[in-house]
Amino acid sequence: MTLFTIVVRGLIRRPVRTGLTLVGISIGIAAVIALVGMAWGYEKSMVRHLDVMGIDVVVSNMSGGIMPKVYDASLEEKIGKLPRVKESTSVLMQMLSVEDAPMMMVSGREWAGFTWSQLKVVEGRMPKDGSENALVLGRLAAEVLKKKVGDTVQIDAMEIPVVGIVDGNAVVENGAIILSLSVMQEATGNQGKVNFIDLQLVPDTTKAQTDELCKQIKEIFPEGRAMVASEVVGTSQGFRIARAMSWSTSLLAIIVGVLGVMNTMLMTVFERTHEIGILLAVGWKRRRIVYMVLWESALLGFLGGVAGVTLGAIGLKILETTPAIRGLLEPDLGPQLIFISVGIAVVVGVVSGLYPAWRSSRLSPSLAMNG
Amino acid sequence: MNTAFPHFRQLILQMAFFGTLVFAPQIRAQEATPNAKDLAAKLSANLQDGSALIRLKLETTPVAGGPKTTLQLQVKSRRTKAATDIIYQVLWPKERKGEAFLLHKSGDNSPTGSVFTLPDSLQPLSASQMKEGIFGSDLTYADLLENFFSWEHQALVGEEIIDRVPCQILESKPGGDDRSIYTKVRSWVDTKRMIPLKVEKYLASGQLGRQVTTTRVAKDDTDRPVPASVMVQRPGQTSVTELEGSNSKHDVTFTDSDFTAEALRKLIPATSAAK
Amino acid sequence: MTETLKAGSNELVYEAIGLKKQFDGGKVIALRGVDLQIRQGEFVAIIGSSGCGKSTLLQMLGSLDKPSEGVLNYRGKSIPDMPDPSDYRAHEIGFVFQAFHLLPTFTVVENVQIPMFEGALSRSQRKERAVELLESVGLGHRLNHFPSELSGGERQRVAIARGLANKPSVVLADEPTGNLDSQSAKSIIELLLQLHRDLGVTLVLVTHDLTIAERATRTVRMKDGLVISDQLSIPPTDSP
Repeated sequence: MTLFTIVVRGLIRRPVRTGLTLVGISIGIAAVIALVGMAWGYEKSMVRHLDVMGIDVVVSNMSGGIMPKVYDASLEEKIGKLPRVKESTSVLMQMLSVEDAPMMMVSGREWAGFTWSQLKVVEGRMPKDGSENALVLGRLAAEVLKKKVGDTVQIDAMEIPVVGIVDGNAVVENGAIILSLSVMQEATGNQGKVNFIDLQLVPDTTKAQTDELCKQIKEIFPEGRAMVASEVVGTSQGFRIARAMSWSTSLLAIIVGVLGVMNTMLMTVFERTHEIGILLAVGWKRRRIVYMVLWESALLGFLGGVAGVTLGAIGLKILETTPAIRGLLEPDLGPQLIFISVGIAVVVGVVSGLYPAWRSSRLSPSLAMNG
Repeated sequence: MNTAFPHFRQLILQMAFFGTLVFAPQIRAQEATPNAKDLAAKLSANLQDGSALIRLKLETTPVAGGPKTTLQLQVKSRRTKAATDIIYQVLWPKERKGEAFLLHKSGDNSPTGSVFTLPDSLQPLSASQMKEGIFGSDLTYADLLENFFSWEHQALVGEEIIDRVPCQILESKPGGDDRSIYTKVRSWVDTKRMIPLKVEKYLASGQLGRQVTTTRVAKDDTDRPVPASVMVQRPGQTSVTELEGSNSKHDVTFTDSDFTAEALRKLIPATSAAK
Repeated sequence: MTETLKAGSNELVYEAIGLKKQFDGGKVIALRGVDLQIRQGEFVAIIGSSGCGKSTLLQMLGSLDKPSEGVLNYRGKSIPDMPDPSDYRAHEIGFVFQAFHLLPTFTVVENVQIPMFEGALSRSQRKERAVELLESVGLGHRLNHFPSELSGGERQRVAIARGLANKPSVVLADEPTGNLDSQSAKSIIELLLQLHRDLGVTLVLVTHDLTIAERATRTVRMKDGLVISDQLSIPPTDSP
């Protein structure tokens, strides 16, 4: 028999209460797993895509309104020739209110540019070439607009047939209307204009080289701005908000967990006053009693954490396969998050055991035994 | 697998949105109380923004519930101190594509206008029709033309905070040659961004005839904050109209022929207008 | 046996001078000034009617409670002033209670091991020693039973085994037969006497049963919080 035996015995003797507390903690940890997993997944998927592509730079003129102002498409040629640029492609993208749908992203992309390659056709086909009067809808966009292949979508005054539904493997892409740059320019009356130039850089481009490139772009296009995508990811407001929200919700869940464990441990200590008195009478040091209570609550936290991770993982799997959400989320359930969550659960256990442990060590043995 | 760019763009958009929605209202400067006449003159000048091409969504919702009517509109306007020309054309839905009207007002003359209805009927607008709603909405032709900031009587009558933004209440009353069905218009003006956040128009009976509330402020293509979405309500009426601007383009080259009744017959896509 | 007779000359284990104890801010006075000396190897029976303060005295000897006033030393060291009395409780004394005070969720062999956590024994050594102790009290066949499965006499044997876990030099027993039928009580007393004799432990036993007191080497009689008599006796059962 070891102290661990005693700790485990303490939990087993009240299976219902221990079980309920476990449920409490595990729900809290499941919330951490689900929420933080989603936030991280969102972030990670972006970082992963960036990794695949190397360092990317987006050139635009951010001064006007919600959408960057349009500028002359010929700029791409000049920027594309700059050193370290491997490939470049132009985009004309606008937030438009389309038919009776709310504002949505309409993205006109230079035909054959590298931004087309990621799209997977779910239904129908891709436009035949850059001049075909055709567009494809992201899966979500098709749902929002209630359109099928063969219908038409009116962009401003132009009616454009839907030739395909695509999966862009990202929420933003799936919510967009995607068409070739020239058709987009025609529909919106922006012939020869673009508002984004996407750059793919030569692999192993250093930060200094990227900065130098941005400087050169600034010279060619003074009112524009070249932004390094990877730098924006971590610091962007959207991410910070998503992260803060998931953590603050999780924090609430954790607080509930702490209170649950603390309550259980307090009950345990009160209920075991007599027993603790006996332990003191047979010579146990108060420190050992404190350890016993803390180990017990830590174990409770650990078990709750493991159960919570399992629960959260199941929850995420269910969410992932729910038709309405499928494709929108790429939750990240890596060892790091599991480790952190279980760690949190253990810390929760220990923290909530502190007060009960202190209480128990203050008991007077004779009163405890007679009480 | 390249989804990075669209994501990235989404971020930029998000930042822009947060910029306008979250931070803009908090930027407030305690400037000296402006003079009513100057304020009205500035607001009036802002309205006369030259030639512009605007995309709007017009939604009319019955108060009692039921299906709402949604129209996508293309607006061409040319507003100068001397004259105002406006053309509204329906882009969507398909069945109504091409419906249009034209409004014109120069100097102190009475406004004129024409309405084009499908399949092919072009009618002038009478003075009484000017008080009717455009495309069956709660907004009248006269409302579109009328610039109450240029009326003779302007007075500041108070201050109020709307959506956390301190506003001056500007009261405009027609006088002299000003013609209007309204006898008094009150505007809650955000003097920092120089836009009205709420406008109340009173009828001769003293009743509130129309209330226009700004529901979204955004910067337009000239980097100026504008009421991008507004809601028009008429007390006692059965519907509410919302206008949601999605796109604007200023300094567009129009010719006089763009603003003739004949021009209403064909829906000229933005393409040809934007040179 | 001869040693017990010479008890008076042995090392002083407990010394109480003017020991007082009040409860509830003086409303209840349990001890009114007890003077007492107990020497190594003695079997002292403290007797008296209930409420005379004998249990309170025993608790103080066991450091489970502190005196309000007076001196109480164990081998020359003040018990109330011990910075950590748990060492004293764990290694110097063994407690046997009237109500047994076994831990219900642990088996017999586990209960006996509980005090050994404060010792230096390894896990297997603890178990080994617990088995030995239980065999010596005649419970070798009950090792893995829970206390609730045992009779009162058996439970008290477990408690005695537990009390001896860390080889104490003193056993403090508080009415150890109080909850037992006469047959079990008799065998428990025999067991305690055997320990006293074989292990040479100093045994301090609180009881109101005069037949038990007769077996002790010394009888201390208490009344109203005071010692009223203190006499050496020759235990008749020592010579069978």
